[in-house]
Amino acid sequence: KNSLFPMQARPKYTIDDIWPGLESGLTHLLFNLTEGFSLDSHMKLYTCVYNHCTTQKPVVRGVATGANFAGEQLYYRLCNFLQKHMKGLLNNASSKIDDSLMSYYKKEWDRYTTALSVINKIFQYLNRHWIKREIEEGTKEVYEVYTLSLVIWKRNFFDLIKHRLTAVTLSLIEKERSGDYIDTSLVKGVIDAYVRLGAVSDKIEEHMQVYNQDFNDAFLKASESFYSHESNDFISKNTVSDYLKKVMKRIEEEKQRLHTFVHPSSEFELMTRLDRVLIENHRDSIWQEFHVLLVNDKIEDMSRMYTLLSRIPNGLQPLKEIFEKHIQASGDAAILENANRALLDPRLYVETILKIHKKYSTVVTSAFRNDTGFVEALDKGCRKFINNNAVTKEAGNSSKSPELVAKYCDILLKKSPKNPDEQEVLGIINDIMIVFKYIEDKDVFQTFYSKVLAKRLINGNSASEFLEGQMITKLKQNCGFEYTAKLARMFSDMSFSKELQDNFRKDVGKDLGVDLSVLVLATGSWPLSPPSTTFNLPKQLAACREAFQNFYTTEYQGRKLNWLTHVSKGEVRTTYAAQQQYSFQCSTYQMGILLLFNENDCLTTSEMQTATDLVQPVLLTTLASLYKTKVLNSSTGEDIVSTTKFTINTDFKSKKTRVGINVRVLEAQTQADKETHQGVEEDRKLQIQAALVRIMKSRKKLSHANLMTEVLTQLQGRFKPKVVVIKKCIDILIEKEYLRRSEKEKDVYTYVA
Amino acid sequence: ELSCMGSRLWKSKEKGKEKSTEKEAPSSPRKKDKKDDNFSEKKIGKLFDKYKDPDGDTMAAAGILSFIEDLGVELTDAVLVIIPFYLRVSVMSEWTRSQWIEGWRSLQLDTLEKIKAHIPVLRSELMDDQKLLQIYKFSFLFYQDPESTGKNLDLETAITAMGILLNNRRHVANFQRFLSQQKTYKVINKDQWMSFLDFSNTIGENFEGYEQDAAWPSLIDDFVEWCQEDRKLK
Repeated sequence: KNSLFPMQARPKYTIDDIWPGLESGLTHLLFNLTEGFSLDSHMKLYTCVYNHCTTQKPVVRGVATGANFAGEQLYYRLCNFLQKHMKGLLNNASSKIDDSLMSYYKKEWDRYTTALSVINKIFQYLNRHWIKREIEEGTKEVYEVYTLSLVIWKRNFFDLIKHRLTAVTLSLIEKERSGDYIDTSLVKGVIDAYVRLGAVSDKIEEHMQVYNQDFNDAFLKASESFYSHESNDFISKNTVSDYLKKVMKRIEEEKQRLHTFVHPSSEFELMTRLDRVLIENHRDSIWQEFHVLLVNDKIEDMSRMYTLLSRIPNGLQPLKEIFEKHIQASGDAAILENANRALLDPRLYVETILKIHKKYSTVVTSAFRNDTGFVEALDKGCRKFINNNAVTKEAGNSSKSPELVAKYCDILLKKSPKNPDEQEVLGIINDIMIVFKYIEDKDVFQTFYSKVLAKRLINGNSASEFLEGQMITKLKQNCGFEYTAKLARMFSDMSFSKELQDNFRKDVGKDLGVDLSVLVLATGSWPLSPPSTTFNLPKQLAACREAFQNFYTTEYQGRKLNWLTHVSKGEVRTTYAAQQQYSFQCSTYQMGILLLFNENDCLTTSEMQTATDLVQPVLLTTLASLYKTKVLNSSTGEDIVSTTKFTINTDFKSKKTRVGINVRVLEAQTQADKETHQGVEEDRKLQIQAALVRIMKSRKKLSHANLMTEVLTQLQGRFKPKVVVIKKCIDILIEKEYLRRSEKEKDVYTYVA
Repeated sequence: ELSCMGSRLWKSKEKGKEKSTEKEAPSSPRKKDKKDDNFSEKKIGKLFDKYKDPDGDTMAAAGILSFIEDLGVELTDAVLVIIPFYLRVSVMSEWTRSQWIEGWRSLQLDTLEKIKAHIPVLRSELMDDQKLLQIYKFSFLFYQDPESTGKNLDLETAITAMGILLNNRRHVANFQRFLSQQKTYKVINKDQWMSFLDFSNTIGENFEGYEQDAAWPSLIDDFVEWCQEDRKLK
C-alpha cells in the first residue's frame, strides 16, 4: 500500500485509524530499509503519532481519564508488533548452527538497530510525553522506544539463544587460537551486539552487564582452560626456552585479538589469567631452567624469561638469588683456576675479576634491562667473591685482595716499556675503581697503595703525573677527602723538595764534588720508618749530609731531619775494569762497602762491619747482593761468615755501562707485606677504640647492640671490624675507665667523663 | 706479719698507716638506729678493749687474729669477709674503734657470745641474692693487696675468693679451673669480676641464654669457648 492515509473530510486519529499505516511503515523499516525511506514518509509517520497523541483522550487501562497525554494503546501496539517480529527471528534461528547462527544474528541485529534509530525518531512525541510521564511516575516496564526495542529483543530473542550464541562464538575464537582462519569481523559484530545490548539499562554502570554476564565470563573461563591445556601439553614436550618463546607469542596474539574483536574491557582480566596460567603455574619449571641459561650465556632466552616473569608477582626474586650465587661461584671458579699464579701476579688477579664483572654486567644490561634488583645481585655476588676467594684463602687473609689491587695500580703507574699509552691506562684505572668499590678492607688498600706510591716517588718511577693525579682524584671521589689526604701530602712534599734542592744546589751544593739530591718528606704522611741499623757514612757523603743539614736548619729552625739511609741510593763510577768504565747504581749501604775498597784490596766481613757500623743482618744482605751481582768476590762463596774475605771483581763484565746492582731479595718483600698486614691490624684496633669513644661521648648511654651497629656503620667505609675485636676494644676501654657497664642494665654502657 | 696457714687471703702490714683513698670501703651514711635498747655501746667497747693494740686505740693484726680465734672459725670461712663488710673495714690489719662499734651496732650484737651465735645467720646471707651482690662487690677491693692500685685482683686470690663466696654455684668450679689453666689473663678487673657473678646467676648449665655477640667481656667469651673445648675432650 503506498498511500498511508485515506482522504477524509474530518481526519480521525484513533489507534485503529493510525495503526495500519504505522504498522506498514514499521514493517518497511524493519525489512526493506535498504530500499530507502524518504523524508516525506518519515514526516508522515511522525505526524501520525503526533496527531494521535494530541487528539485522543488519554486512556489508562482501558478507562478514559482526565490525564493529559494519550499513548498507552499506541505503546502496547508497538510492543506487540516488535514481539511478533522477535518470534519470527527466533524461529529462523532455531535451525541455524555454528557460523550461520552468528551470521544470522549479526545480520538481523544490524538491520534491527538501524531501523530502531528511525523508529525512535518517529515515536519521539510519544517518548517526550506519555512515556516520559509514565517513567516519572514510576510505572514499571515503560521505556523510551529505543530502549523498549532493545528490551524486547533481549527478552524475546537474545535471552533464548544466548547460550548457543556464546558457545558458537567461543568455539570460533578457539578455532582461531588453534591456527585456523576465521571471519573476525563476524565475531566482532556479534560481540559488539552484546555490548550494545547493555543499553537496556539506563544506569551507566550496568551498560556492560550483558557483555560481562553473557559473554565475558564464559570467554575468560574458556581462555583460561584453553591455555592451561596448551601450556601443560607444550611444556611437557618441549624445552623451557621454546616454551618461553611460545608464551611470548601467545601473549602478543591475545593482545591483537583484544584489539581486533574482543572488547578492550576484557584486557585486564584476560591478561591476568593468562599470566597465571601460562607463567605462574609453570614458574617452578621456568625458575629451574634459569641456571642452565646462565651457565650457557643464553642472553635472548634470559631476556624472554625476565620479561615474562616480570608479569607475575615475585616472579623475579628466585632469579636474583640464583644470579647472585652464580656470579659468586663463577668468580670463585675463575680465580681458583688461576689461584697459584694470581697470588703473585696482581695484573692477572685484577683482570680475572674484571672479566667476570664485565661479563655479568653485560647480562644485566642486555637480558635484565638494568633492573635494579639484578644490579644489586651483581654487586652482592661480586662483593662476595672479590673479598673471599681461592687467593685470599691461600693467603689466609681476606686483606690479600686489596693488597693485590694496590700492587696492580703500582704496575700500571710505574714507568715501563710494557705499559700501554696514557689513555688506555686511564681506562684500566676506571675499571680498577669498579673492583675497588667492592673491596671491604679499604684501609688495607690505602696502606699498601701509600707504600708503593712512596717507592715510586722516591725512585722517580712514576709513568705520568697526570695518571697519578687521576688516581688520587678517583680515590677521593670514592672515599672522601680524609682517605687521600696523606697521599696528596706526599705529592706536595715532592714538589717542595724539588724547590728546596734547586735552592740548595745554587747555594752550597755546587761545591760538594758529589751530585747530591735530597728529598725532604713529612714524617707523618709517608709510610717510612727510620733505619734499622747504624751506619758510618763514607766521608764524602758525610760532608754532603752536613752541608745539607746546615742549609736546611738555617731555613727551618726547630725541624729535625732523620736520614733514611736504608732507602737511599746512588751511583758510583769505577775505573778498574778492563774494557769499560762501569758505573753501578747501588744502595747507600752498598756504596759504603764499595768505597772501602778504595783504600783496601781485601776486607773481611768483620772488618767491614767495624768500618761501616752496619748491624749484622743488614751487612750480610748487602754483601750477598754484591756477591750475587758479581761486583765482589767472596772467599767462601754464597755462605758468608765473619771471616769471609772479599775482593773487587776486576773481571766484571756487563753489556750495559750503567749497571743496577741494588737487587732486592724476595723474602724481604713477603716479610714486609706480612708486617704491613699486622700494622693494619694494630691500626684497626685504635680506629675501633677511637670510634667507640666518639660514639659514647656523644650518646652518653647506649645499649650493647646499638653500640655495635654504630661502630660498624662508622667504620664501614674503611673496613669491616670483627665483633670479637670490637668486644676486646670495649674491654680495654672499660679498663681504662672511658666506659662503664651500667649496674642495673647489664648490656648498657655509659660514658665516663 | 700475718702469714696464715693455707690462706693467702690476707696481706696485712702492721706498719704503714698510709692507705690509698681508693681502697676505702664504700661510704654511705650509716643509719643510726633509734632503738639501741638491745645494744650496749659499753659492752662492745669493752670487747674492743680486749683486742686492741696496746699502743693506740685500734685493733691491729694480732688483735684481729685473736678475735678470730675466739670466734672459732676457720680462716677460709666466709664469715671472715662478711664481718669486714659490716664493719666497713678494708684491711685486716687495722680496725678503728668507731668502725667496730658502728659495725656491730648495725648488726645489734654487743657481746662475743651474741656474735658467735649470729655466725650461721651471717653465713646464710650468701644465699640472699641482694646481700650476696653487695658482699661480692665489696670483696673485690677487700681481697686486694693494700699496696695495689685497686683495679685488679690476682688470679690465685680470685679463684680462692670465688670458692669461698660462690661455693657450689653454677659454673664456678669450671671457671676456677679455666682461670688457672689459661695464659691470656694475669689478673681480673672489676668489670670481669662482677660480670662473672651475673653470668653464674643468669646463664644456664648448658649456656642457655648466652650469646657470643652480647655484651659479655672477652674473658667470659673465652671461658665459654674453653668449656666447650673441655666438654669435647670429655
